[in-house]
Amino acid sequence: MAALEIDTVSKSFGGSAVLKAVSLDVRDGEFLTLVGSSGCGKSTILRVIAGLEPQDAGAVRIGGRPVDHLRPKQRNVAMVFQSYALYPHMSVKDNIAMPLIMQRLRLAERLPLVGRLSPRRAKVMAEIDGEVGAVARQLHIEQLLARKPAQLSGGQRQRVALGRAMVRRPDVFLMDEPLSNLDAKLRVHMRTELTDLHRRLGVTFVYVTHDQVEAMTMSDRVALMDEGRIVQLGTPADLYHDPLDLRVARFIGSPGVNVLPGTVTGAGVEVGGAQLPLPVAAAEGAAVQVGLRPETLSLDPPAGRPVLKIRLSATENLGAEVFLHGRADGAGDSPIIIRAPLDAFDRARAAGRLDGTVTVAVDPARAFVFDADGRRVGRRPVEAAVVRMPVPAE
Amino acid sequence: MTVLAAPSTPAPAPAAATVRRAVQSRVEARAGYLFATPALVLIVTILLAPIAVVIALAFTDYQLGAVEWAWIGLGNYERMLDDPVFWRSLANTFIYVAIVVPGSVVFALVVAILVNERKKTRTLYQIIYFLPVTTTLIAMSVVWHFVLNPQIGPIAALLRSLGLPAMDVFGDPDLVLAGLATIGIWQLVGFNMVLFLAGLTAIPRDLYDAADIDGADHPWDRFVRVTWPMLGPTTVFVVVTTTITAFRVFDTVAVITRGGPLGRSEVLLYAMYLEGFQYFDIGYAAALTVVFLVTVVALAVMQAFFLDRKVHY
Repeated sequence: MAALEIDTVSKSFGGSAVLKAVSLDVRDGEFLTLVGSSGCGKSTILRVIAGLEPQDAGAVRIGGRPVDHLRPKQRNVAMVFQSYALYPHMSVKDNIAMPLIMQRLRLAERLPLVGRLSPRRAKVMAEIDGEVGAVARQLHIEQLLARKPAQLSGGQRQRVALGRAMVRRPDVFLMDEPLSNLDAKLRVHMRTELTDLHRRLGVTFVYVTHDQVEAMTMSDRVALMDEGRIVQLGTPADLYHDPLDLRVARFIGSPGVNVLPGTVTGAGVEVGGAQLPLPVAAAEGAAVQVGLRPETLSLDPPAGRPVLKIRLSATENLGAEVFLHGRADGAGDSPIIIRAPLDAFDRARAAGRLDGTVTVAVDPARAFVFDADGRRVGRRPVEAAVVRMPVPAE
Repeated sequence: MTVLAAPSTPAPAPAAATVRRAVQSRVEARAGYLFATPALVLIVTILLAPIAVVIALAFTDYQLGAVEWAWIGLGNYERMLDDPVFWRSLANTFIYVAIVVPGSVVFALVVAILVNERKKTRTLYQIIYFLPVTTTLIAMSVVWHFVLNPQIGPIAALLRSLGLPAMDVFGDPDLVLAGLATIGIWQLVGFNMVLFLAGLTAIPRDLYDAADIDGADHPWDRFVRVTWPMLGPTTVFVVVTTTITAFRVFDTVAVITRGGPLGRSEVLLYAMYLEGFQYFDIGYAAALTVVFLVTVVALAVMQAFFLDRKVHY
């Protein structure tokens, strides 16, 4: 168990900078997720932490101790790969035992026949067997120990890979998209298993994924990366309700945030005819981008709030809620999605307010305003944002 | 069919449909055979018929150009049992194979691992090692004959300048097979290296990363725990093809030694060639060919049913 510090780490591959002076502190026992689209550098950070890829500049410290000069095996980190990277010719038991065998037996003792001459080999192997058995029981794979990886299902392979990582009691667990090779249902199940495992082990987890749902549901904190930099680091709720950058607002949340063109006015921001009384740190007349989460647009009568007129094109009924697709009149004809609870949808329909167009109320307090470069302008206090909505199932 | 639909369907209709389906499947089957016929004809005329002819000829005393011939049953095989040239050829062939197979496989594996780690010069080394494969072995045999010649060869000159006695590799009964095997290895390494390189490229990088993290980062451990097991299927293929190629050694013997000295380089294929095309004893040559075929087929079967199962995980 240890904290992990990444101090202005840079890395280039053949002239293209993959990591640009990235700094990140991971607390002891924290579940931190690096999320971003492919090529953003998130896997490279993991490989730098593990020592598989030397950084060009900067330092990595585990438990306060610099590890830059150490080889991967000496850093006491464990890694779960996207492909699981199990040794296909070895049984499950041998796969899990591998790190311990390499740690505790000397080179001569690992040789096929000569090794048996060593008096301590049998004792060490018995210890290792015991520990492998204990890990297998924790993961409910003790009945699979004699099998080869090819005879296992995707979920079982995943558990073996976890077992191989757990058995050495690492300081830091590194996971590189471990769930992306599983089918959708199993992925959801393994999400809860992984968070459970994290709670039981209490070890620092660094988890890499391109799936914002995984990032939101599993992590203590999330670092969203783009083009080799960390764009925003915060709790899942921070990233959802208080994005500091348009890229964060767009990446987090499903369906995605609605982005409409707006203009800074004396009273705030004008978007699609609606006046949002927001204090914005930008010159009057400047073009801005306004982000509105689909669930912040209300189908109920506006009651004095600013409104947007939307031409509807499609309706998706998901049972508990309804997604309404359309285009915002007057706001550059931008596509827009409204996420309404079923009762609100029924009320609006009963009142005859859904006749091809609909008027939705905007909550100015929950709108994000970004400048032309995508930086947030006119930020609200963080507390207000967090209180507004419950965190999606953490 | 659903329960609701059943009453509305007239009774004879399903029967008619069944008949129609049966006719259709018969037509399809016939069409299938029709489409397969050209391939079948080719396989029979090009591959199976010649083998059948050879097997049949082995039971006759047919001489090339002879008008009359007779079935002699196992006569040719009985003659073989008493033929010292056959036994010598068989023994020499096995010795040759026993040197060439391990030599060319191990050497090719080492070269492949070394070449695989080169980044910029990889292609260059690949071409250099592959060159012998592209050359004509007959022509290269002449070159080797010259290089190893005890009077005018550069190797002999080198040995003489060091004050050592010149070796007459192809004239020394104890060295001749080793000399031929060296040429065999020289020619096969490039091809085997390419196969091993393909096998090495197919090993997922993740496995080496996992091995690094698990502590298997010593070159020996990486080789024993990842590279070698992952190359299993390639190795079996390389060993079997190399063995078959080595069994077919002929060019170098025919050009350089002609079975000499003292018959110490007589090999199976060369004996076959002598019987068939020098002494025109086709029946006996066919019997030798059958022995050769059985050996090679046995190797292929061993690969398919025994070795392959051990290396696919």
